Amino acid sequence: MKITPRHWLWFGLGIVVLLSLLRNFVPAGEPMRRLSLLPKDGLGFVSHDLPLNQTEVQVYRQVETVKRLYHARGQRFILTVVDGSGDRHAVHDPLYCFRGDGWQVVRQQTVAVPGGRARLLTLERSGRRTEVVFWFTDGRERYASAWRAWWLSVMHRLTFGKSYGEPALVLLQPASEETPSWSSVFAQCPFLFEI
Amino acid sequence: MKVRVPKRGAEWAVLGFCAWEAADLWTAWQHSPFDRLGWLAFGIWLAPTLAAASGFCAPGPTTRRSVQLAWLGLVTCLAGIVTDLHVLKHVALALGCAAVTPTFRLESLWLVLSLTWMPALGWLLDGLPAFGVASTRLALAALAALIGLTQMRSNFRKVLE
Repeated sequence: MKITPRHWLWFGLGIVVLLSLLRNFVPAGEPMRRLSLLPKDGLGFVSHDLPLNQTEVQVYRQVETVKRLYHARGQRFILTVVDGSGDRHAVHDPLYCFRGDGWQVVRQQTVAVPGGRARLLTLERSGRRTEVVFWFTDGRERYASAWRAWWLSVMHRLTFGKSYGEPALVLLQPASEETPSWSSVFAQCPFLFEI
Repeated sequence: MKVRVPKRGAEWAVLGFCAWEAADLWTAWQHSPFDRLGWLAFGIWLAPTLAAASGFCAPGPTTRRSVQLAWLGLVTCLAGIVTDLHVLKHVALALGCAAVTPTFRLESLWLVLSLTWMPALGWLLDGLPAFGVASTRLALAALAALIGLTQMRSNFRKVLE
């Protein structure tokens, strides 16, 4: 029988299908299990869990997620943390979601936080203005660039978790119309920088 | 005159595998505000492939070209699996579609316009509101379909002559 280019293509397809099946059995590193360590209450703060909305349930179905309302000495804010260990695609630039939700980005600033940098966004929708803060973290370092999170996540997979930690997203939003003083929140909630 | 269409079972199998690997597209089209109507853009962009599959305008692709495109799609898909990058799997799906579509002039442009149904376009057009992104998707997908169908039709006429 003469082997044609299409026979080779069938052969190549078989190999790729096999590799794809094998890839599912090789974990891309251990999950960090860092979210379970996040305190619910402590000196000067209390919190309670918030339910995920329908879209969040769908997008975060394969990852460990925390969504909590914190009260810290008069400051009220919602903390959302998404650990991308189960599905790296769940961790993405929150700007994309805010824009999709109808918010306009009025200003973006990079601000220093313990162990790295975060991004402070000023958003506006229907005349209402608010400020949110987010950063990505691998447990050792905090950074504001979604591209960097994306690249480190690729490297995490290529090295089977041997280099770089899987990025997690930490997002802080006001719990009401009033935007908290983020610098006070950072000072009162040092556990935010232990994720 | 009857036009002979070569069997392309291997290319169709590669396309099926790439489509399976790119299944996340469905979730993105349903839940991401910038990707809504991506499914419609995909359907419009796919018109030349569907037309060829239905025998409406199929001059018959060269084996070499369709196999090369299928290999390219397969390798891109493998890269997407290893790195877990959805965008590579989406490109692989586009290449898989091209592998089962008869060749036509401006085919490269049609392939580039596959971006119209990919979430990557939402990221590239991040300055536009969701409605603007959806409109751009549909307009460019229609352009891609128009290019593909008119060029394939003209090829078909040449074959019949």
